[in-house]
Amino acid sequence: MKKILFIEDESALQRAVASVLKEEGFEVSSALDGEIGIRLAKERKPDLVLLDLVLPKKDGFEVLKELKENPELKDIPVIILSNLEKSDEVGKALELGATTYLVKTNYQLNEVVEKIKGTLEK
Amino acid sequence: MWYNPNMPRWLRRLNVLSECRALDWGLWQCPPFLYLVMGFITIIAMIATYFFSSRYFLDEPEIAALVVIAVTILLFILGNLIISGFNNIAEANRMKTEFVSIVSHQLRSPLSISKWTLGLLERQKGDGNFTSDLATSIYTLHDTNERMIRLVNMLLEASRIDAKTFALRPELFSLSEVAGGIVKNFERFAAASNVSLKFQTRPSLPQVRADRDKISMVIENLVDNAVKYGRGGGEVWVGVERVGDFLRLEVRDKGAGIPEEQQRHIFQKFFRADNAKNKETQGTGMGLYIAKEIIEASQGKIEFKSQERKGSTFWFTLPIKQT
Repeated sequence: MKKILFIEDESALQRAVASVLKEEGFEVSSALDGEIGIRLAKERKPDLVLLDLVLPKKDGFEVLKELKENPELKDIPVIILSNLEKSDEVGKALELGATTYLVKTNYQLNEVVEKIKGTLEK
Repeated sequence: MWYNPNMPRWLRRLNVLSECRALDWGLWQCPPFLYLVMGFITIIAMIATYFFSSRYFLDEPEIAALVVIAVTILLFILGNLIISGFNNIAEANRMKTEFVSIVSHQLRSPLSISKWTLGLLERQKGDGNFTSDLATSIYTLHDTNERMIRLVNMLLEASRIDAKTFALRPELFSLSEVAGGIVKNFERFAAASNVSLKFQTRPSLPQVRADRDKISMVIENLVDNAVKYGRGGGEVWVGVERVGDFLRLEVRDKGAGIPEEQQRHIFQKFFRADNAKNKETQGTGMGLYIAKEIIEASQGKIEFKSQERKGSTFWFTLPIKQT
C-alpha cells in the first residue's frame, strides 16, 4: 500500500482528502503544521507528500527545502496544494524541487487523486 | 466642462480639469494640472524677465538674475509636487494589487473547503443514498461554489494584468480534454438556462504549451457568456480543431448577439453591451478583457463575429507545440 503524507493546516481539507485517498487504497498520514510534517516524513518515509504552503510553525517552502536537503527524503515526490496564486509561488516551489503545483480551488478532489496516481507511476 | 470617455486620448488630456475630476484627484495633487501651471509660470516668467530686464535692469543685471533664480526655485518646487503626486499614485496601485492578492487567497480557503467537502458528498451518490431533491441541492451548491471560485480567479487576474505582474506558467496539455471537461461542468447550468450545450472535437489532436489554468479561465468565460446571453431553447456549440500550426477553439451561440456599434468595445475592461446589461444584471465586464490578455500573451489570437438577435461566435487560436 502506498503511503501519502498530507501537510495542511485546514482540518476540513485533511478530512476530505484523507477520506478519498483511503477509499482509493492509500495509507494516509496527516500533519497540521510544518514541524509535525517534517517529523512524520522522517518517521514514516511516505511515497508521496502533499504540501500546503501557508502553514503554522514552518511554512511549506521551509518544509520543502528540508525534505530535499535530507538524503533519505529527497527523492520523495512533492505535490504542492496551495491557494496562493500560481505565478508568484510556482517558480519558487518548482526550483526547490516540487514535482507539481496545484491551486486547490482549480482542481476537483478526483482530479487531485489522478495527479497523485500519475506522479506515483513515474 | 464637456468630457466624453469616447474622445481621442490627446483631446481628453487638454481638458485637464475634467480629467482630474474624473480620476478623483484633488486639483493641487493632480500632476497634469500642476504641469500646466508649471508651463504657464515658465512662459510668463520668461516673457516678464525679458521685458523687465531689457527695460529696467540694464544697469543691474543682478536683479534680473535674482528673479530668474527665484522663478527657477518655484519651478523646482512645483516639479517636486508633481513627482510626489506620481509616487502616491504608484504606491496606491501597489497596495491595491497586494490587497487583492491577500483577499483572494483568504477567499480561496473557504471556497476550497466547500469544493472538496461537496466532492466528498458527491462521491456518495452512487450508493443510491440521494433523493433527487438532495442531489439537486448538492449540485446547486457545487455550481454556486464554482461560480464564486471563477469570480475570485477573474478578480485576481484582472488586478495582475493591471499591475503588469501577470505571468504565465506554460505546460503541455490537451486543449480538447480541458475544453471537454469544462463543457461537462457547464451542462447543468446550461440545462437550467434552457440551452443545449454541444462539444465537438477530433481525436489525437496535438498538444499545446500554455498556462492550463489561465486558458481554462478563458474557455469558462466564453462558454459562460454563450449560455448566459443565449436565448432559451437555443444551442451553444463548442469545438476544437486544428488549423495549420494552431489549434482553434470556437464557441458559437444563437443568443442575443452584440449590437454593431458596441462591438469595438467588447474587449475593454468593465465594458458590458447594453443588451447584456438589460438581460443579466450580474456580470463584471472583465471576462473578455482578461481573455484577450491571456490569449495574446500565449501567442494566440482571439476574435469574434456577432449579429444582434442572431448570435455570436467567439474563437481563439493557440500555437501547437512543435516537437
